[in-house]
Amino acid sequence: MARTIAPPELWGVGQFRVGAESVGWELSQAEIMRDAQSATAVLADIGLRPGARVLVTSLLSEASHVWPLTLGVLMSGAQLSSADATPFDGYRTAMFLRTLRYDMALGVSDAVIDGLEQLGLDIGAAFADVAVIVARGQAYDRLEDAGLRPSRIILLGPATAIARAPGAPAEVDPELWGLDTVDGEIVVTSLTERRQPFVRQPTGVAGAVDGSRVVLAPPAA
Amino acid sequence: MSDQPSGLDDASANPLDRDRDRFFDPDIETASRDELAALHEEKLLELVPYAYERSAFYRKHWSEAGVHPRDVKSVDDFRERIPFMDKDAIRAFRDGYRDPYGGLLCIPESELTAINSTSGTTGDPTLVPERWAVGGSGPALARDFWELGVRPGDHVAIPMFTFRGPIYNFPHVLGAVPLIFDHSPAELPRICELVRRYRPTSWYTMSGPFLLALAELETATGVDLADVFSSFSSIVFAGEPLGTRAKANAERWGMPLFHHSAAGDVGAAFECREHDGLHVWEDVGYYECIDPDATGPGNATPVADGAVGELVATSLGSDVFPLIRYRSDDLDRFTRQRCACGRTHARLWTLGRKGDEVVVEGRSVLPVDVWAAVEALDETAAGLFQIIRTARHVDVLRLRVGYAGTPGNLGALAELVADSVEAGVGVRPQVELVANAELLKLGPPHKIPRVAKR
Repeated sequence: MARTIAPPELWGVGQFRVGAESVGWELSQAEIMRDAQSATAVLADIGLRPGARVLVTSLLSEASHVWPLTLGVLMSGAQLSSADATPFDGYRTAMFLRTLRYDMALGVSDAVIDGLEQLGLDIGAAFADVAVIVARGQAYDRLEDAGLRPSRIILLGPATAIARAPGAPAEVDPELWGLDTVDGEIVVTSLTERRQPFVRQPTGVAGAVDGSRVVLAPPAA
Repeated sequence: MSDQPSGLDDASANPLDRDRDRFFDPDIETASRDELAALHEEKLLELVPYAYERSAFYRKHWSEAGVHPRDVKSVDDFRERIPFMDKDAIRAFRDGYRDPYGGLLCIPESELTAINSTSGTTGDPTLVPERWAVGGSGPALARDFWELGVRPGDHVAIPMFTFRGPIYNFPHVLGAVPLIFDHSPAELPRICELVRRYRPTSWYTMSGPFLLALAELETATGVDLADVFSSFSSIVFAGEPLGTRAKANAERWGMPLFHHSAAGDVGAAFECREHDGLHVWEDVGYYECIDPDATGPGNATPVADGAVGELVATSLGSDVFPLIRYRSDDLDRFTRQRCACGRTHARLWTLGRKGDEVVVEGRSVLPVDVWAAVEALDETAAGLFQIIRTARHVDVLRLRVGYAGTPGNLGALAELVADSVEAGVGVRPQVELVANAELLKLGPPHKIPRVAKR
């Protein structure tokens, strides 16, 4: 008989970014499940339905943000594909988009678009059949420039902010995170019990807040 | 975050003896060969009609070979009648019939939870459809990492990729906690910092480019890598062969390296603490090792135990997307002899891909043959090179070799590399030199393609 061992209370040690700096981040299994339940609700709000297919582009180091979203996809009864958010792995993203029909592309980043463009692909055409595109950073603007209507996702320090519709501001779950600003930088405070609590944690993201909504500052000229 | 990372107290108080208590699932890991043979017969005789009924690929492929499941009543029948298949056959079916799963999907598409992909090392990646339980992975890697010393309360460093799905969850089956990183040289300073903080006992995976980047980090910063790696009982190395210079560095840093490889896209193969071949799990896959030149079951002579052949794999644990008599293109030495660790499952030693072999002047040359000769020179010590393979039989061995720094006379260096390869391999190559950084751009972060068509 194989051994049966209880999983550890600590889910893992990931990281979040504050600008260019990386901060180690311990998460418990309970936090992951709470974040996943929140993600499930958000994904439903933006149109994820049972039987849908979702392509997630991320880095493994983003697992602390992405695993709750992934669980949200699975708990929604949707199907998941994964590719690295790197230029090199653009061939994998291209293969998925060429081979299967996706209802949602989640986490599209500059690196993903760079990879597709390096393969000579037209971004507008590559994502044309994807109903919901959730993009981050400058990828959001590049997709808009290509004639698409993405929604925005922001990895806001340890929090995740997602817009409920194209053009809408990204927002955090107000039961999980409080937002504020310090000298034009958004800071986050954890509102539920966390193994690693956050109080006005800098995020490296410039902007303003409106309740749980994030209003990004325009990029510096 | 507290100063004392979680788990360290638990680990130090761990009552389990890592040396004496080596089996995660002793019944199956030490099953007798007779028990394994009975398991193979039971599972193969279930699999053949199951796949024939559900897979358009197998119905077509086997019908063209004149085979019907009713003809397969034993493992001998399976070996004598069921035709081989390979990745090209899957791609051809996929493209010819516009079926993204290559005709292999055996359950309704609506029952899938994940559709991931192969690495794509040998071309366009192919889809790997899966059905998961919500919450993550099962005990797939648990047996191997238990043997490698992971115990409840430990931490496991996982610098990896996303294309296999949420690989970071596997330590939970062992009661261990993952430290999650990208497999990117840019992550190494952070990895060193967190390794010193959490003192993990295992690392999955290390690669040649990572070892190269660690040497550069050591030179640039003076980081004490012997201290960084002092807590590890295992560091799993994968991707490609370990060069002699990289191996020397790993030994200098006290890395307890264990080799790991895929096993015919059906399972994984890991060294145990005996360092005497990589174990495959024969309840997960049915493995054969055949004459690499075999064209079909009729002339697919199994190689003698301990000899080199091509690995052929059949999935025993997948009702979603089973591969049946899948020719891996991998040349392995293969044995079913019981290992000194007590495990009874087969072991293999990886030599290279059949598709990477070139024959020059009647002599077979694989990347592994060239490695040491390239590494022998300081300027090319990183061991970054490609064989230019326009055909299996070529008149001249052509190599593209990476160099570090700014050597003054590239022509003279190319001659030195050619001398070294000629001395080591017995064939004088034509050598094209390029900067290491250019070669590293060609691959994923953990390896480069060792063979190029041009």
